[in-house]
Amino acid sequence: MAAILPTVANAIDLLLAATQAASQIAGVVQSAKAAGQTILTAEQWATITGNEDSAEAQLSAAIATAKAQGK
Amino acid sequence: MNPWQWFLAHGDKLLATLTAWLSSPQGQSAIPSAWAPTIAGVLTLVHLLFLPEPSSAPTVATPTATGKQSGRTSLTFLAMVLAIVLAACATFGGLSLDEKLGAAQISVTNVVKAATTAVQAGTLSSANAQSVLNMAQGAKDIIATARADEAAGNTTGASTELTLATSALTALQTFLNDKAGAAAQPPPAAPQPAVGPKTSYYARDPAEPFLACTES
Repeated sequence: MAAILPTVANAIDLLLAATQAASQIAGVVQSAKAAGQTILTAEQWATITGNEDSAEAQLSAAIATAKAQGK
Repeated sequence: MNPWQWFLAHGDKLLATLTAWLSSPQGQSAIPSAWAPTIAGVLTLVHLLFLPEPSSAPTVATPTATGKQSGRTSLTFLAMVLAIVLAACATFGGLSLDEKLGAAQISVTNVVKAATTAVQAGTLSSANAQSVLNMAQGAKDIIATARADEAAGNTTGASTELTLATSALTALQTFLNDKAGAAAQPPPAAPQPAVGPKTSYYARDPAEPFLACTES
């Protein structure tokens, strides 16, 4: 059982990431629709690209750490 | 084999087929909800992770395999995250081009986040993570080009770039599928059960078209 728990924890984390993505997409689209927009605002795009840049930086740092540990 | 045994052995394919149908135009018209394929995808994951192997198979002691969890790495989960996100993305009918580009970028971001989680957990190698990062950056660049085309009024070019971005995401999915499939290979000396391991939906033919946020 103990060996399964990390796998379950990873699965839950990643499922949360998936549902978070669907929620984010739905939120962006709904806010655009509510405002009668067919395009996203500059602020919305700034948030989206900012999140991407932040995520890439975090992955790069994680890769560097993993390499340092020989993984 | 009774129905439950059959479900244990083949339920993942059944659920994956359901997910694909819900993501298709026919499925979208029947159940116009983005959450339907997401729920089906979650059920597939539950099936893969938590349900036991068919008990009709003789119990074989193996030194490495202790259940369905063995041999399945975070690459499988990453592929599933991408599949679920793209399936959900496909069901957002009636989106403008700009909204589809935004949805594609959010999908890329969440794959990067999931890869970060996997690397930090030690279940994704730094080399594979670097490949994921490179492919995600490629998709991001394509989306940026599409936005520039759209801003310049070149909607045809932007749509083409969106198709390319979708292809990049599909390539990322294929990469993760391949890595997950390789990781899930049993060790050469391990005895094989009488009832073979489940064939994962995510080990599908890479040439198979994948539903995603393409311009409709």
